[in-house]
Amino acid sequence: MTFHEMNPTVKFVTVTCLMFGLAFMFNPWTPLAVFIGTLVLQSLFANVSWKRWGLFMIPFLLTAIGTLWTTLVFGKASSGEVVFVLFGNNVTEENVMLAVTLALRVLAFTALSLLFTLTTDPKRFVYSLMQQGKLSPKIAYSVFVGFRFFPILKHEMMQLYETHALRGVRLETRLDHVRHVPKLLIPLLAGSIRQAERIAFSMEARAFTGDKRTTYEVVPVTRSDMLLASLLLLLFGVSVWIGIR
Amino acid sequence: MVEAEQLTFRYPGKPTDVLTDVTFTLRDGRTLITGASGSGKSTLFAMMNRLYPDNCDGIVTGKLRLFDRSYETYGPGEVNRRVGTVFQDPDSQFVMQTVEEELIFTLENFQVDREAMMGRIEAMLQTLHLSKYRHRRIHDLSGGEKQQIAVACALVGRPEWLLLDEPLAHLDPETAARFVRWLDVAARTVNVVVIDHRPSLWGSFFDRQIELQTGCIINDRPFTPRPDYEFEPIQMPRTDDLLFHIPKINRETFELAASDLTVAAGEVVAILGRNGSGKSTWLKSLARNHRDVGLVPQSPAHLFITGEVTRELAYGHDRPIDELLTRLGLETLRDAHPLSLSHGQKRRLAIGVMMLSGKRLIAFDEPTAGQDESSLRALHQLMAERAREGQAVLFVTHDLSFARTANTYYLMRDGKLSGPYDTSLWDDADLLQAHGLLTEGTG
Repeated sequence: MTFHEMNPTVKFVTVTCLMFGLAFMFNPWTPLAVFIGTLVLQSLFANVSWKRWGLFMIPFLLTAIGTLWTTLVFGKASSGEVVFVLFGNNVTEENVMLAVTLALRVLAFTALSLLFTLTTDPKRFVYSLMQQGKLSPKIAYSVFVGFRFFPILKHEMMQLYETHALRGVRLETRLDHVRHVPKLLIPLLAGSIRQAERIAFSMEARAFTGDKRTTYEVVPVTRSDMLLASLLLLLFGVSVWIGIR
Repeated sequence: MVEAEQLTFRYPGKPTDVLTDVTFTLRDGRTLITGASGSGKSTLFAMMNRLYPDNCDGIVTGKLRLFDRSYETYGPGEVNRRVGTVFQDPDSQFVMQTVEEELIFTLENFQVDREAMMGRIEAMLQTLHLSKYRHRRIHDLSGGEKQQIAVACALVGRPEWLLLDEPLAHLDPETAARFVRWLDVAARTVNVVVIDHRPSLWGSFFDRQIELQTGCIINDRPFTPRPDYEFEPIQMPRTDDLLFHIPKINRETFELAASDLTVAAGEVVAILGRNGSGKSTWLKSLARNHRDVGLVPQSPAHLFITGEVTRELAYGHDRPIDELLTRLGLETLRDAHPLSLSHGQKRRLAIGVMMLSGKRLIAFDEPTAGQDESSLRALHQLMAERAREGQAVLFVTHDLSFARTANTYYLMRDGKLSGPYDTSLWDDADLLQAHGLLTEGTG
């Protein structure tokens, strides 16, 4: 029973519910408990490289610290005991609570999102959305084509850069490359539209119409999916209880 | 399978018909449909698997019956259960990542039972001798392997007919010959229709051949193997030599040895070798390291930076462009968007760009892929003109007929360039064989 094996749609719905619920909690303890609880569940039921997790966490950690800082410095003046003075702004206990709440909420959201993204195979997610989420195969297979398209598009872009450099366009630094992007958009788009049309033809030529087909890759909903979902919901319940106690 | 009677077809918003009065009946066997670009063969092809007229809102008159039913009575994807299709471009006909997933995709569309799928895939791959590719990523396969997989995907649905649209256009001669031999066995149980404007590559594969010209059938007869187009070497007096050094390149999976190239103005050089032997890498390196070299990529459209023909020609210098516009036959298209030109016009514009930027060697990367005879003749003309005006011309190709236009040859194998050779190269069978340039029927 791991989060990797968990049905992606069930996982997605559960995680989304938790995030939605978190948005209504205005105390620092609930997000803190969710954050810690998510990490505990992740270490128990998932095999995630903590190094990768840490790297993904960095930008969000900075966001959290930024949120904390700005809320403290620019917080609304409120009545109450002044705890300390920061850049001439009187910081009350209420201000501190609000700042910590917001910062922890960012962290809790991130931990939940990472739990989902780091344990979910995108292909299996799309299959599952088709089977449990009643997603139309037309949309689902467009996503699959998209997966394949990405390296092709990248290759095309490198080729354009290369030939344009040969024509004397200055493309030495990274900034030069970024500045040149608008010039690449039209040829890239023209190429992509042609490719997309060809793939669409090829799909129809192999009898893909978007309705009635059989499925090889079955993504089931099992008891352990329900168990993991319940665990997550239980975690949220406990966290709420800790918060409003 | 197909009966057409006075069939015409017109694309929406176009003044003329692409197909004008086509009448024929396709019977069992192997049929080749030939014709120049714009003769309507691709349109006819797309009507045979019913991608047209639905997907382009084309206007059809006359009768077209597929399997004894009028084409209008079929729903989308319906006739495709009986007709398998392989397209020209190996890179844009797959949906999934691996070979097995791609085959599963087809079987799912055909509503094959889940339990039966693996058995059918295994049997199919075994019959076609493709079992070793089963778990490979399609992206990593070569062009020839991709075309084989495309055939497997078409055949796994057990069609009655197999349609192929210029399946050899992107393959080198050795790979193409191997593909044709393989297909000869693979397609024993189905009827085959192939669209190709170069019948010579197919040996004696077909029973019948239909030739189209500007939307009409001008020929319908039993197939006779035909030699390929012939080209005369371009002979020009040579003047001052240019020396180019191409440094060594090391990649993870590939190594390009350092090489030197001496080219005289007026010389026409062909670089030959198998797909993946390093020709294109070598060519790019040549262009990157020498400002004198102007590279015309395989799709000339990649060169264009601006949105207008005149601005494109004037880019990066202040020399006059009007005389050149007339000489290239582009004066009526001054304000057109470079990407809206035809392939031949794009190539002329690309050459114009190279001429104005004062390049002394014009290098073409695979200029012949997918080109019909008249387009090849036009290219030959252009190259001869460049050579006459004192520029050196170089091209990389695996088109052995077109390669005859050159007067100097270099061969590429596993990243090593050898040469120069003169036209006596064509008599050295061992040398040609070693570089994948000799196939049965040619050479």
